[in-house]
Amino acid sequence: MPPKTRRAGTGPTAASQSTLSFKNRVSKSKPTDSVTAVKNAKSTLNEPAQEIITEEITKQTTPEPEEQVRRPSASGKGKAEQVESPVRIVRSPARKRKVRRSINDDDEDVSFEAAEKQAQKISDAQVKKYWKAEEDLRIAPRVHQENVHLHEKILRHFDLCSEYGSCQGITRLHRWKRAQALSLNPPIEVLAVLLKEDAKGKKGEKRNTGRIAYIDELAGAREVEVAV
Amino acid sequence: MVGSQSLLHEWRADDRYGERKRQPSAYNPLYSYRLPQGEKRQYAQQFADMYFLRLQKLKATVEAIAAQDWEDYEIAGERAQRVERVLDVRQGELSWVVGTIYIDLPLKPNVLEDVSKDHFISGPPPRTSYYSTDGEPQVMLEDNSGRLRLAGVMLKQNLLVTGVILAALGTENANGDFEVLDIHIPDLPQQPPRWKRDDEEREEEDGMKVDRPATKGKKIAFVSGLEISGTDADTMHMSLLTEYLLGEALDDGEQDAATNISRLVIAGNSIAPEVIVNQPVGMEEVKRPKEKKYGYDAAAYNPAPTTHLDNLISELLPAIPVTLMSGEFDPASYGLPQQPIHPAMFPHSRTYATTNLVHPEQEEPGWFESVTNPWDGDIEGWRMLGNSGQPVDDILKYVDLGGPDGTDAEGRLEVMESMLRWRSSAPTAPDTLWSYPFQDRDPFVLSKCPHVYFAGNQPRFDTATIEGSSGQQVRLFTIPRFRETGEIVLLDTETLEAEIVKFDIHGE
Repeated sequence: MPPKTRRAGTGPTAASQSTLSFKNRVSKSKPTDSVTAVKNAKSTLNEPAQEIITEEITKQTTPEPEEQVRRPSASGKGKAEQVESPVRIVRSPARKRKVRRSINDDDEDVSFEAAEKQAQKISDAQVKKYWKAEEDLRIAPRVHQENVHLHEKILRHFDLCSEYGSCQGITRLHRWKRAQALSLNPPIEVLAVLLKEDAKGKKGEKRNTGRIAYIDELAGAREVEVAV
Repeated sequence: MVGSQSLLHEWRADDRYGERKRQPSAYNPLYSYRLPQGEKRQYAQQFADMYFLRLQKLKATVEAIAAQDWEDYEIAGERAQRVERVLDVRQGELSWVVGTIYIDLPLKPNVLEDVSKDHFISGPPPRTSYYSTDGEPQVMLEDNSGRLRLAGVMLKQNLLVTGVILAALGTENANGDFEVLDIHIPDLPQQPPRWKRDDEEREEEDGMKVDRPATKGKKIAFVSGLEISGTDADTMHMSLLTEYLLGEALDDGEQDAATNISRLVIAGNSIAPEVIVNQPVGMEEVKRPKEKKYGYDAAAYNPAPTTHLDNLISELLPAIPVTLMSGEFDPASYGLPQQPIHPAMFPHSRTYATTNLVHPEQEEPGWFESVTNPWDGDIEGWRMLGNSGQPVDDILKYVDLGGPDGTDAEGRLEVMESMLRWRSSAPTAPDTLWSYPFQDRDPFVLSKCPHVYFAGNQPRFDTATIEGSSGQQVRLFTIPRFRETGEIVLLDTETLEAEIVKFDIHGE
């Protein structure tokens, strides 16, 4: 029988503590849009004055987006007649712009996630089959690789494929990601191996492969996190 | 000559002093050349990645152009075949291949030679040109498989430098060299229509189309090479420049004309190259300066030039927006892309700048913007691309267009045109031009064609318009060094014509 799932709220702990409720008070402040802030703010002005204000504000917003909204001061209901004057709306200079720096970032992340999902599904047998196909392309068997683990063999072969660029100065996973972003179609089995080994490393088990290319390690390189 | 209607006339009771308003500047910069800040900026990457990225990006374009052109290329019955790798060309077979050019020049700094030389000899003075009439430059085509030496007359007829991606058609001869019969370069990329980015952003925000009436006579001022040293008597020309831009100089007509200048772009080298007096040069024993606890060490730092520059800019800022690019001699990072001069250098001017240094793209740009070199952005809807002159000067070291020592004024526009047609704003980076080791993207590859392309710190003002095969039109111009020539460039925003205004002092 699968273990019963514990539900919060049942059991002895449910009744002893009251749950937190944010119905009445919000502790997080959201960035306020100037127009809606005025609309939603509790105003001490009476209803007709409030309507006139919102009307003036929305009228002014469309043709002149360069003016700042002046919050009608809550200084008294008697000031209703003063709000007949047009309300100037000014956009504050710290308005958030849409980030236009790199157009392709979102697309890349999305496609890598899809590739990651696909790679998680690849089984050991599929990886072995891939490797057998690669070895069949060769005429002679590989030498001096008898004691090398299968995963490390696959990754070393990936390192030496020059169509994905140099293997030095870059981690294997980053190199795979970059190759995929450049539409070079690197083999998905290599990503599967990389993710399996990363998962092993996270769990604390001993890894069979390195994060950087073996020849790079021999040359004395250390892994470094790079953004660009 | 200055008209004297407004100067030196009798007092009149009905004199009125009108207020002049400057034309507003529509400014929408791009931040393509900004590097990550702090820890994220690493230098452990290999430069080979830059060449790989460049080739990957441009290979498809060049292949398409070459395939279309050489589809039915025949010589004596032999047809040209596409070859995947550079090393796969065979003798006697007519084939074409895509790769990166690498030029080996006899005088080019070679790290292997430096290592094999004796360590204790002081280095030779830096060379101004790698081109020498003695040795022959060796042109090679390179891709991920290897290098192929090129030969043929075509190489002399075309301007080629290291880092250019091209397709070469030819055959291998008995020496193993590839005899080139024809070449194709990526040529100008697509050009966005004017106002495209601004319209897109407006549509996203407001959902409305914006009406843009043509403003006749609006101009943008470009200056470079102010080379303020703080000690030399260079303040006279600067004062004339400030007065002209602020609309204080000359008479009413000229002052009205000055209100048309909507923005000033300073294209690098605002600080003079040698600002430290008595700086020790050479290999003699350098006395270690005493550790100063307070203030700065006068032997190592001279604050006068940046103070002067700050005063100059802050004088201009209340009246005209300023974009300041870093240059070769400015206190900014060394390799390309040079990062903006830090606002800490400008205590007065920085009040006009944005405070968000990490993500400036999220804020509206202030009137003072310290930007990268090279820089691209939209001014008045036109896409502009410019640099402070280092890429152009470096390319001229490869060829003999620029005279025997590469410093002549000829050939600058030709080099700039070639850079656009090669789709690279710095092709010789990282070979002979210091650069940041990019690993994921090569920002020097141009994906969109600019409308205006300028290079600062050039010996002379020159301008031309070039055209592309799909209707692209680019205005090229070089900005002369203000310190030497006293000239600034005014670009008309409607017609994209460039003219100069020269400031001079009689008797000098």
